[in-house]
Formats: sequence, C-alpha cells, structure tokens
Amino acid sequence: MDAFVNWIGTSSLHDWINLSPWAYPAMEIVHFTGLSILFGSLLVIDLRVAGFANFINMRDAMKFIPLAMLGFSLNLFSGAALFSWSPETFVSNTGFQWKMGLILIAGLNALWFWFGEHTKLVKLADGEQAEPTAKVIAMVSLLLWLAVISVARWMAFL
Amino acid sequence: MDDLCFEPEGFICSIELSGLGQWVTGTSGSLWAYPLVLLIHGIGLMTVLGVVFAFNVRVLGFASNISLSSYDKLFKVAWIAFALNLLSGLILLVGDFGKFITQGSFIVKMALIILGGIMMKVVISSIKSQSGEAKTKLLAGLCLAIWFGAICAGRLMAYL
Repeated sequence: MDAFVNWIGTSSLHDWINLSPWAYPAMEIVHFTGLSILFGSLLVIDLRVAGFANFINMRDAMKFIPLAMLGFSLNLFSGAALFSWSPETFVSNTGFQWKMGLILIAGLNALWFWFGEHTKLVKLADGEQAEPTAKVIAMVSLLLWLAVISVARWMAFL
Repeated sequence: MDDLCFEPEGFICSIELSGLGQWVTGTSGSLWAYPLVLLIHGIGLMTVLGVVFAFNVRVLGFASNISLSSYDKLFKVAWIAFALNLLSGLILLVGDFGKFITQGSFIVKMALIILGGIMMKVVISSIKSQSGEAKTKLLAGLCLAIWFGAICAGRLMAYL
C-alpha cells in the first residue's frame, strides 16, 4: 500500500495534476460524466433485472453493460489522476476508505452477476421475470452505487 | 457568507440569514445539514443525467430493440430526481445567495439545465412527429452536449 502511494505520488500523473491549473477540474468533469454514464446504464440494467421494467427485453437491457464498463473505465482513469494529486490525503480520508470498500463489494457483486446470472438472464423470454437471486444482486448493485455516491460526496466532510 | 451581504436588512442578507440559510450553512448549529443536502443533490444529479444519457444513446441508435416508449417509466424516476434537485438546489442557493446569483458558472449552469430540459422535450416531440431519423439523432447529440455542458459549468462553480 505504501509502495503504491509512493509510486503514484511521484508519477508523471502526479506532476501533471498538480502543475496544470486545468487538470484537476477537467478530471473532476470526466469523473462526473463517467459516473452519469455508469449510473444511467445501471438504472436500465438493474431496474429490468429487479423486475421494475419487465417491458424491456432482457437481452436489450444487457446491451448497456458495455456502456456501464465505459463509464467505469472513465472513472478509474480520472479517479487515479485525482488520487495522484495527493495520495496520502485520500488514503487517510474516512469517506475515501468507505468509497473504495463499497466499490470493491460492488465489483464482486458485478462479477457474481456476470458469471452466475448473465447467461441465464439472456435466455429469458420477453417480459419474463428474473430469478430471485438475480433480483437481489440487481437491488444490491443499485443500493451499493447510491452508497458510493453518498460517501464520495462526504469525502469533503469526513 | 459572502461579501455581498453588507447590511442585515438588505435583500441578499435577509435570504442568507433566514432560518433555512442559517440551517444549511451550519450557522444555527446543524453540522449535518450541508453534507445531507449536498448528498441529495449528488444522487439526484446522477439520476437525472443517467436517464438523460440512457435515453439519448438509445435515440442515437444504441440498443435499438428497446422501444422508445419504454423510457416513460425511467422519465418518472428522472422527474422525481429532478424535483429533489430543485429543492436541494434551492436550499444550497439560499445558504450562499449573494455568491451564487453573481457567479458566472452558476448562471451558465442554470441556463444549460433549462436548455437541456427543453431539448429533452424537443427530442421526444421529434420522435413522435417522425420528423426524420437524421434530424432526431442530431437533436439527441445536441441534447447530450448541452447536459455535458451543465456538468462542466456545475463542476467549475467550485473554481470560477
């Protein structure tokens, strides 16, 4: 962990985000845009799987998975850039620690969804309900991301 | 509190020093008020933008098997989120009224949100009137660009 903090804290990313006056706000804008893309895509996918939008064909809802991953990738990159601004500040921040922990759980939840449920879900007929396990995973996913947004917003206060 | 609040009887001061204004800035002792309102604003923001994004990429031709009318339910979610943001936004505005009403990025953000809302209606009516796919897609692209502009202006409020 210390090695990672040291490495990113002395990287060229660190220099760029600290020296260019536009870099930090620009990366924040990318971070917000990426989150919008990720959260909007998850709304389509998770609301369908959870059973709130059964009028959407499951296979079509699943087309939003690549978009969700695009949003997540944007945020992984912009997040790393923002983090490199001052790694020590972030790792010692309670809000940041919660945020990373919750994203990790959300990631494991997504892996469970992909490997355990996805193949079963795309075989469903139009309008057919997902099985209870998949519904729980979808609800947990939405709740986790709402929690991620919450603790992220609180990083300035915790 | 901002410099524009000179005299307690003045209009700007009277708003910032109102019960609501003192509550949200923590002046009246509620340290959780500001983070709480900001949190509601953040969740509402991501929901509105998420639905705007999911709708417009569909209009642009992505996942075209999904019928456009099936977005009606998502729009309900977005309207609830928008109402939350109008309310939480007004509370945040009251807290530092003098700063916001003279801040360029805030005014641009408000203008872009109004424009973005109108553009959503324009895109929807363009679909309903079947005024040509190319035109509708162009409008959807413009709509996304306007909402992206709103994100930029909103974020830059912390700097400009």
